[in-house]
Amino acid sequence: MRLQTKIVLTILPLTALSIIIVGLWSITTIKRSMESALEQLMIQEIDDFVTHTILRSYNTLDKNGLLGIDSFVASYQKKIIEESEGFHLLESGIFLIIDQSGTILNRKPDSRLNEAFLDQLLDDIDAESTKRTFGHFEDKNGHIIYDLSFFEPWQWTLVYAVSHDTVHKAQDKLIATSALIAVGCGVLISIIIILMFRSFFVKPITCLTETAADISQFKEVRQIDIHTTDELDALARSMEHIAGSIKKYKDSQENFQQHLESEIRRSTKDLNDANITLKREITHRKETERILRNNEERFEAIFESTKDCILVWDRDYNYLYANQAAIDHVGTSRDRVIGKNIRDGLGHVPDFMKLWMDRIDNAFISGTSFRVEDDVMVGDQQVHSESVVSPIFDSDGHIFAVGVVYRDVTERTRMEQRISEALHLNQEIISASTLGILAYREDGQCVLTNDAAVTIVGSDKNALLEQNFNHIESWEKTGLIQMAREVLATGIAEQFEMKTISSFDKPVWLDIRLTRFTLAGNPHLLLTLDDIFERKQMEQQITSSLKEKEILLKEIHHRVKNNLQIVSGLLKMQAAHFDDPRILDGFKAGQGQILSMALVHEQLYNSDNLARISFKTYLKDLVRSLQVSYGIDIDRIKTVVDCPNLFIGIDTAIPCGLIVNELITNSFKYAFAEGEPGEITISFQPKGDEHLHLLVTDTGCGLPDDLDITRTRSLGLKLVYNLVTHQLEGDIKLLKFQGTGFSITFPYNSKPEADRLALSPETPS
Amino acid sequence: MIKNKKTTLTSCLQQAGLVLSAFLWVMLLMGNPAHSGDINVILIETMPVKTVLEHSRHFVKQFADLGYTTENGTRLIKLDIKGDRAYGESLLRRELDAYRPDLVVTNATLASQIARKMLKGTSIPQVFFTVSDPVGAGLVEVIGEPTQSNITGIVHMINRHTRISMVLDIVRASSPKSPVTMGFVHSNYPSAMGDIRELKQAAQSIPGIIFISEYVDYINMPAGKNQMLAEARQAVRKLDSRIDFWWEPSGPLGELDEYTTMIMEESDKPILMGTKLNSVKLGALLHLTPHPQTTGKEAALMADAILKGKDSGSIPVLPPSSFDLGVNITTALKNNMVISQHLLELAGDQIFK
Repeated sequence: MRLQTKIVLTILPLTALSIIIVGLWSITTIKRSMESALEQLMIQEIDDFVTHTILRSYNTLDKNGLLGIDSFVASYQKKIIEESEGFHLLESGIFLIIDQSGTILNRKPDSRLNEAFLDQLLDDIDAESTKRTFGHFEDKNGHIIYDLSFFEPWQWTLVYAVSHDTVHKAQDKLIATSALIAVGCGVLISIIIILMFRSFFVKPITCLTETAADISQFKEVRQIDIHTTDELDALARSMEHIAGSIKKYKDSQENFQQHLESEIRRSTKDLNDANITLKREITHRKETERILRNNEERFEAIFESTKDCILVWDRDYNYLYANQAAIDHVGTSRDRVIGKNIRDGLGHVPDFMKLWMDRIDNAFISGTSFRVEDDVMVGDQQVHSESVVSPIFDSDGHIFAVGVVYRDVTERTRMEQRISEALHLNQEIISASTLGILAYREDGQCVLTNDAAVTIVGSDKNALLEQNFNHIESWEKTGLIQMAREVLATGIAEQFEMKTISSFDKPVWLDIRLTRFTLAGNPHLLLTLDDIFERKQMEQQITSSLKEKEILLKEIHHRVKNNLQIVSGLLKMQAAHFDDPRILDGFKAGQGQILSMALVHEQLYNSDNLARISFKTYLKDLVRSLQVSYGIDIDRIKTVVDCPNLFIGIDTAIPCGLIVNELITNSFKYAFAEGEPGEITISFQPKGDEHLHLLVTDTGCGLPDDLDITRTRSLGLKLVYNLVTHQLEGDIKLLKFQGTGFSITFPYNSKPEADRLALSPETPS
Repeated sequence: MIKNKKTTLTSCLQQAGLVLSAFLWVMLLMGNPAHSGDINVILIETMPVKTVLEHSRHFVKQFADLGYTTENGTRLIKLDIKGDRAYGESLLRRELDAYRPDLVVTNATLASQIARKMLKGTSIPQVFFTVSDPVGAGLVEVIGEPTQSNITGIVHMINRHTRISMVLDIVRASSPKSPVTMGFVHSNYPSAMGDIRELKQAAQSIPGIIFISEYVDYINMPAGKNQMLAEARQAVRKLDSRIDFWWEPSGPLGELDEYTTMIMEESDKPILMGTKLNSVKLGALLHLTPHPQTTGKEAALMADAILKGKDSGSIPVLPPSSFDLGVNITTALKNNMVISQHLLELAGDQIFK
């Protein structure tokens, strides 16, 4: 055992013993000190109260001359007594202020003072006060410790008393505490010793034991955690050395064992690899066999299920194989065919047999397949067959047999014949068509054209067939490409006329039609072209001719109007040679009638439609002309024209104009006295669908009551009557009221008139 | 050649020494603002009444003790606005038009209000004192916190709760009556209005005391003194039968000795709280106001800090830190009242008979 261990084991218990001894000594010493400290505390407390509370109040009163003022003294004393109740006391202590009469001033009714204790205290105070100065005392029995102080100005005795039990209790507590500390120290030291023993001996020995166990089990021991520079440390190092030696031996053994294991593993691996390769080959072979078997079965199933006849011969023309279709075709059983010679089957048709034997030989010699067709009679029907003769090679590349696949294609051949004829017919139709026909694939490539198309666009057939409409510049410029794509996409056909220059620089005027059709499931574009160049030229000629006629007609109307104005002017000139008012009136009336007709022609050549005039405009112009002609003051005699925007033909307009001319002229001349105001109204309205109604009224003096318009002698009214009844085939009524009115109704249908003039009946807008 | 180089080096060192010395002197001078150049400080007094003059006197003395004297380049311009707002504004305007002061110190409410109105929004700092109700006067928003503006100062009023509690302790010891009614006759001067408002507000949370008040129109002093006193006399007569004790108001009216005398002539009810120390000398029971010397010193320290560069908006508005208590023993004895020991100790020498 080293020195540290000895020290630990010897000094620590001695230290613990010393602490306990010192503690016990302290208890006895402190017991005396406590009594002394209590005495000092009591003296200090009571002195503080006297100085800081009583004396301070007294001095304040004294300084301010208030000692003689009872209210102040009583108040201040009361305050002191209140404060004494808050005096700091020990648990069993009491504080009393006793006046000179022996009255306790600060005793409360609920005071915790023990009466016996108090009586004994007062007795002692009386006794002490007679023989001792004030200070600290104990009572006769030593049960009470009290401190006395006397405040002379107010003859107050102050007592601070404490039961001796207070000191005893404190002492008991101190001893108990000290004992507790001693026990605690002992326990603590014991724990420390145990911990140290554990640290110095138990833990290292445990560590060494565990290490020894590890060594015995050949576990690796690197370093033992003992570093105490004692015997245990030396033992630990020795064990580390032993462990190192064992480890080295163990490592060499392990290396040898590892080498041996690696050799075994390598050999095992080689064997495994060989085994795996072998297994793989076996598996592959089995798989190949299975595939071959499957293929054989599959091919046989195919051969047996096909409707084509399959026959196989060897070099000696023996049947090696015949499928079910071939068996069925010859109408026999399989065992009657397989193994038989071709001569057994076809001996009755030697030419046909010879032909097939040659073909078999040919296949053996050439080593290539070839196709043959035959027409043979089967029963009473001729059958057209198609056969493929093929050599069959073995795995060494030698021909060991010849196979024939035979198919009855009679029906297909007939169908092809019909299709060919139909196609030929279509081709002929397309070729014979005067319409240009072109067909394009969806990708824009031209696949069909005809001669008419070639002629229309000024090209040759091959050039057209090479075209792809996506790359035709003229199609791009005219928007045909976009249109063709839309027709292909939507299937909605388009038709329009187009004047353009073809992709072969030929000016063309075409009626173009784009249609989508489907061929072999693919959409195609059909483009039909109709050359309308000549027709359009003719239409232009007709239009220009019509325009020319229209101009001529206008010119005629213009000249008629001019001529009528000349006639009117001539009448005016002629009238200048007469003085007779009646003659002058006649001339003037004639002028007015001619001018009314001239106005119709003027309206005609000024309008867009040479067959009709706007009768509203006409009436306004006529009224204005008459107002000027007769010098009418338009503010005096007002004229109202009530007419919708109505267009009527010249055959109706001229008589209507003459009628209005006559009636207004009559009103201007006779209806109104000189200087009198008045109003003339001309209403021209449709009446139903087939009549027109003309109403001319004035607010003038009116016509004579006995006037009969059918027998009137007035030239003007006669003219009116005749125009209405004969030319317009209508009715006229004379309205007699305050003024004059003529109501004229006549049938009118614009169509016959339009038909007669061969012009459009539409009313110009 | 070597000698020349040595001479040049010596010369350079001497010049560097001079420059360093000069720099040190400048730094030294910068440390004492009284030496850093001319400083213009305006001190505005509301009117020449005793309280105002006494506070001004202490401020000026403390300010000078801090080194702000004429000899050190400080120009202290004192303006007496004679209790007249318009006159005060014109005086201050004239000064502000002539130069830019570094600081404006205002004594009492009216002067502080005028300066605040004219300096608000400027960078000229303002320090106020002898203002009993700076919040009610519109100078600051709260007491005890920085204003974040160009104004700060010291409040000239002991907390109303404290004063009311002090009075009630004395009254309750001598009379069982509760509540007691305090008469308060004042002018409509801002600090007086703020005083009664605060007292009434405080009384709401202290049971046993009620304030009833009458006020007269404030007339510029000293011209209006007699008229105001005559009107106040009428108000005292009006209130006398309804109250138990009197309470003197803040402001110019309460500062007058004649006001105290007038109440004592017109009423046999004692004045429990006087506005100034003379009130106690004349017969009021108590007087409790901030200590003028301490207030003046604290205002001077505030001014010093601002002149040294501190932001006035960062200096809290301070309540008074010390105060004067005056007690009239004769009045107490006459009214059978007992003044407590600690009050008599606090009053010290200012106990009158």
